[in-house]
Amino acid sequence: MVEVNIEFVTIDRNTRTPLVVLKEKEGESKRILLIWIGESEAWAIENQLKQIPPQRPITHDLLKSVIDTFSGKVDSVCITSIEESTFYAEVTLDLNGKKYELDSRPSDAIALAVRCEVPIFVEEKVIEENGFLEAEVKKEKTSQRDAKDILENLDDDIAKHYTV
Amino acid sequence: MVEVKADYISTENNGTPVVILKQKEGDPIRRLLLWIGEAEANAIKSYLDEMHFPRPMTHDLIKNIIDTLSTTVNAVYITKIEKSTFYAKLSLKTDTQEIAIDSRPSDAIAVAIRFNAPIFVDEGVLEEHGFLEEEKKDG
Repeated sequence: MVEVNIEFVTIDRNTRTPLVVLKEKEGESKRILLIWIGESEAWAIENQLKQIPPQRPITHDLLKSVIDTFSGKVDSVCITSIEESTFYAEVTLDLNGKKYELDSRPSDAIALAVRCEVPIFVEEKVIEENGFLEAEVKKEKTSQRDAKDILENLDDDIAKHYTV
Repeated sequence: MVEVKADYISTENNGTPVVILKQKEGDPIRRLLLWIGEAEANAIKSYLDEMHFPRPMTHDLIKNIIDTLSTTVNAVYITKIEKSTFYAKLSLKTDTQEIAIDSRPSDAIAVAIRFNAPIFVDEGVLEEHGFLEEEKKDG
């Protein structure tokens, strides 16, 4: 498992779908992983990252309140696998020292992780097969066939970060 | 408090989703219309329509977490309205305690229906904002 940071949330101009860009936290050549997510989850992640306090608790705030109320603790979240273009994730919940792994979509897991300030991990195999190297993208020598196509069609936000 | 049930989800002319709550018993039967977000409308509608998704939606994750915490939802209370915003409480119950958590009505309803938990509306809220079936609600 490798730890990742959320680089940013943007919109894929081509598919008009929000996208979260994850980047490997440590290591010399940091790999990037793109995950397409739903609009409300993108908003939930973005608002928390920008520290925009909601007037009323939004869904993921409620989720955190429920966990806090019953002295649960989120340990971490992990993007565990990809099957037929769908990413799978798990939320690890610590309840009085006992760990529970709950099946989740990556978007919900990430929206919860940013609220609980816990690390986000990606299984090595997932990032190995679906990630691409930041350096390679910059040099336009991406090894992943689709990566350049994807990035070329992204919103201007991403263009600021990568030369494609 | 008056018990209601989530009757159906609709959209206003401007495309805003609404949930219609309907008084469960009594005469006349009053209804309450709440403007909600699209994601929460989908979370309520898909459950009422018994649609199944391959992956857990956000409110399904909330249900799974509540189950894991060995607690359950025993009721939802729509308590007040302030500056056109409705307030609700999600009431959770364990063997030893009952705790009410601040929530938007839409989230509380989306979670409550997944537990078959009753939904209650404050009499004052229903009195002021409820309407009868034959009345045309103007907001």
